[in-house]
Amino acid sequence: MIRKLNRIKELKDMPGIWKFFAAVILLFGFIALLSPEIATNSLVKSVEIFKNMFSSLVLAFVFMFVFNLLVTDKVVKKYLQNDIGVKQCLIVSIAGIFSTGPIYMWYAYLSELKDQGANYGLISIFLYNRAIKLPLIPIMISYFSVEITIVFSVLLFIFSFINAFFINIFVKPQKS
Amino acid sequence: MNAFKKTCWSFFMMAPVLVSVVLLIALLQTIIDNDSLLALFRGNIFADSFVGAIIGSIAPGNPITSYVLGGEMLSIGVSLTAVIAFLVAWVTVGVVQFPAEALMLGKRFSIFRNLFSFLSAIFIGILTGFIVGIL
Repeated sequence: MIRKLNRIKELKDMPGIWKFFAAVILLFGFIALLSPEIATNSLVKSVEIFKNMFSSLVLAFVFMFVFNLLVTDKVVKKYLQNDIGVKQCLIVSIAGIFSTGPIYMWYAYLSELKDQGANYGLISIFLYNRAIKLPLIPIMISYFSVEITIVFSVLLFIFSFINAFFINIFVKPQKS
Repeated sequence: MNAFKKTCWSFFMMAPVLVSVVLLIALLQTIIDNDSLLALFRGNIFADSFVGAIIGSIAPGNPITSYVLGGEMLSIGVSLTAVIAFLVAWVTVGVVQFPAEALMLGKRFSIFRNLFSFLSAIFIGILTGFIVGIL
């Protein structure tokens, strides 16, 4: 019964999501009228983006499924709510580093954590550490240098915790 | 089975936002070309860092694109500080994704997270330039 009520609540919240979608479609329609070439090229590019992110989408689905399977509300409450400790920060930062795919693919997963009362600082740590792209380190070294890449990655890691500290001051967790 | 249904539901909720963001990203990548981006840097380390962070915040796309652009910017003389600020902002700040993030994670969180990430991009750019200069 509670699950059905939650679903109804989520459906009521959906108008905002669909309004955003409708606004983007309208924008494209407007651009198509002004410049069909730009609209067409954009659509072709968007298909390419979706093709490139397909494997990441699958990985995100599997990741979320495993998370929903293994991580119960009790576990979330124990590790991710209330005050954050060093262990939680490290676990979440490592998860962020190893996560793949565009950032917006992970919003649904993080939204669930948020709804369960997860600390916003931890969510921020996850999102910020996504900037450290381990598979792309060799590419970055080839364009810059080993020193720049190391300094860049270490500073990103450190600043993820600094940002989380300030996020926790200004944003309080919601509880469902 | 419950975990599977819950995961499917999450993806269903996310789908319109995901499609919208991809369409916006594709549109921006079509409209803004690389030469236009490079013309914005003038040689002042602080102003360029700020400009780098602004462009990185707005410009969407794969991080590899940012590395390629960053490498080109370095080769034409843009300061390392500005390039690093650009790279950090590219991957941590999301103006295009902001509506989606605000919808899913809350407006207050999204505003502050992006604001702190933007400021961090400038600080990291300056610190990287300083540390690499010492090494």
